[in-house]
Amino acid sequence: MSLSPASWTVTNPSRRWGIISVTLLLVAGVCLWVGLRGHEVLLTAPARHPSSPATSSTLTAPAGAQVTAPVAGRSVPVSLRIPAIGIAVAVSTLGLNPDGTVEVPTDFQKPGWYRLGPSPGQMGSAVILGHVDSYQGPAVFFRLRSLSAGDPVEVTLADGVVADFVVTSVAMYPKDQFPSQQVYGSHGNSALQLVTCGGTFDSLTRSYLSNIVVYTSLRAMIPPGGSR
Amino acid sequence: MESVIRLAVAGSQRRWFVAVLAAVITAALVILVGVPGATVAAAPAAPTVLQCNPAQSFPGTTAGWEVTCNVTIENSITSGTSSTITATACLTAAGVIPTPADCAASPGYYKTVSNSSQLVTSVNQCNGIATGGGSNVYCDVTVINDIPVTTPTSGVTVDQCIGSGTGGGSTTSCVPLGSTSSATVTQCNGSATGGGTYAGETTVNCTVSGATTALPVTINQCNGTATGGGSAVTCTATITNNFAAAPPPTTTTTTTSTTTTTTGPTTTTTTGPTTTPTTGPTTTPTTGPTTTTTTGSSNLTPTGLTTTTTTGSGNLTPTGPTTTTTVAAGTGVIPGGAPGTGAGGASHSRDSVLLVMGGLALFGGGAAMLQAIRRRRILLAQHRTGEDE
Repeated sequence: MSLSPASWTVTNPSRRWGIISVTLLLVAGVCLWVGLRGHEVLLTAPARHPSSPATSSTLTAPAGAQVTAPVAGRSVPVSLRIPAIGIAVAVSTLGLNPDGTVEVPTDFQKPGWYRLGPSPGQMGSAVILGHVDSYQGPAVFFRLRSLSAGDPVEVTLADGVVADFVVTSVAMYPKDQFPSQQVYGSHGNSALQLVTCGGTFDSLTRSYLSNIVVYTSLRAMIPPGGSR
Repeated sequence: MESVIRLAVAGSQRRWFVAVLAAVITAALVILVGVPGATVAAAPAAPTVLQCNPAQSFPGTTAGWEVTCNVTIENSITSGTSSTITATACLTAAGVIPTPADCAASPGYYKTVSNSSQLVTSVNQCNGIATGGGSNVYCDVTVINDIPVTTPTSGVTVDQCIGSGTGGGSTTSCVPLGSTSSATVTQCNGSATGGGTYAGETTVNCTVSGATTALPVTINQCNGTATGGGSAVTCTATITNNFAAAPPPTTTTTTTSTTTTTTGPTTTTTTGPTTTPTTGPTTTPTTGPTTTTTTGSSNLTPTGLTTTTTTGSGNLTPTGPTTTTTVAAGTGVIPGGAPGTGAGGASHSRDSVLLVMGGLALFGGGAAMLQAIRRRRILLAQHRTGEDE
C-alpha cells in the first residue's frame, strides 16, 4: 500500500487534530492574555474628566440641587449609599498616620470616614475615603469616577439621621498636587467629599498617580423614619 | 548562703537575658513591621478618648515593650463648650527609657491633636497591654478644666493599685491609695503582677494629682497591664481646674443722641369766640426734658420751643467697641499628602472565567496535539509498512 502526501492532506486525521490543537491553543492564549490583563483599560482614566488639575472637571450641579439644608450635630456615619453606582456599604472610621497623612481603609470593600473632620451633615467638609481596587480586583469605589452632578449620595448616621447629599462635581488631581485644603477644609457649607485613587497606575510603585474626588453638598437631613 | 547568692545572680542574669532578648526581638519587629495599629481612637466628638488599648490594636502580649502614652485633655466651658485632645504614643524596645527626643525619633511615635465641640468625659488608656515579660509602661493622663470662677467642683475619688505588684520582689508606690468604686480615677489595678522589677524601678508607681474636678471626667488607665515578669508600670493622672473669669458678654451698644429743635416761637393766634385759653406753660416731660409750651388759645397747636432729647436709650452701656471674631467652623485636622486608595489590583486582576476557559482550551489543545502526533505516527507506521510490502 502506498499513501501519497497529497492523499493524507485531505484525509489525514492527524492533520485534523493538529488544526484543532492549534485552534484551541490560540483560544487558550487569547483567554489567558485577556483574563490576566483584567480591567486595566477601565482604570486608565475617568471617562469624562481630564487629569490636569487646571482643567479638572467641575460639573455644576443642577440649580435645583443647591438647597440650603439644616446643619446637623455630630454623629458618626455608619453606612453609605450611592444608588447610581450600586454602593450600599457600612462605613469605618479613619484617623491619621504617624506621618500626618490620612489613614486608608484596611478593608478594600468598606470605605472609611475621616473622623478628625466634621461628620456628614455638619458644617464643613466631611470626607469618606475608599479604595478603587485591591490586589485582587475592583474595590468599593471602583466606579466612583463615573458619578456625575446630580447623583444622590446618602449617609446614614449613628443617630439614625440620613444626610442626603447631591454630587456637585467630580475632579481628578495628580497626587503631588492634591488640594488638601479644598478637600478637607470648610467652605461655609455642609459638604461631603468622596475620595479614591485613579488615573495612571504606576506598576513600579504599585500606586495610582492621581486621586479622584467627588464633591457633594448637603441637600437635606432626613430624620429617623423620615421619607426620602 | 553562697548558693543563694549564686541563684539570685543567676535569676537576675536570666531576667536580664530575657529582657535583652525581648528587646532585640521587639526592636526587630518595630523596624520590620512598624508599630501595628498604634492608633489613637481619640475621636474628636466622642466624649471618650481611647488610646493604647488592645482594642486600638495595641500590642498586647509580646515581651519587651517600652510603652509611653500620654493624653492631655483640655475641656473648656468658658467660651462655649469645646475640648482639645492631644495624644502622643511612643513604642520602643524595652531597655532604655526614651527621652522625648528618642521617643519622637522612634518608629512608633505619633502625635495627634484634635478638637471637639463636646467635652471629653472619659479617658481609657493603657489597659491590658504589654503583658509579656520585661515590658515597661508609662502612661499619663492630664485633664485641664477651663471653667468660669463660679463653677462648682466635686472631689476626685481614687481606685488604684488594687491587686498590683503582687509578685515576688515587687515594689509599690501609689499616692494616694484608694479603693472607691466608680471612682474618678481608676488605675493601676491588677498590674505588674509578674514579680521582679526592671532596673531597680518601682514596679508599680502610680499617682493621682488634683483633689477636685469641675467637670465630670473619669480616667481609667493602666489596669491589667504589664503583667509579665520583670515589668514595671508607671502611671499618673492629673486633674487641674483653671478658673477664669467669664468673658464679657457681647454687648450691643447704641448711643443715640437725637436732638430735635424747633427754633423760633411759633405762635398761632386764633381770634374769635371759641376760645379755650390755656394758660401757663404745660410741661409734659417724657424721656428727657420735653417741654411743650403752648401759648395762646384755640386748638392748641404747639407753640414755642419744643425740645426732645433722648439720651442713652436702649441697652446702653457704652463699654468700648464691640469686636466680633468669626471663626471658620467645620474644619478639623487637615491631613497632609494624598491618600493611597488603590493597589492596582484591578489592572492586574484576573478574570477567573476567562482563565478557566483558557485553561480548558490549553488542556484541550495539548490533548489534540498529542492525538495529532499519535495519529501521525500511526499513519507513518502504516506508510512504512506499505513501502516495505
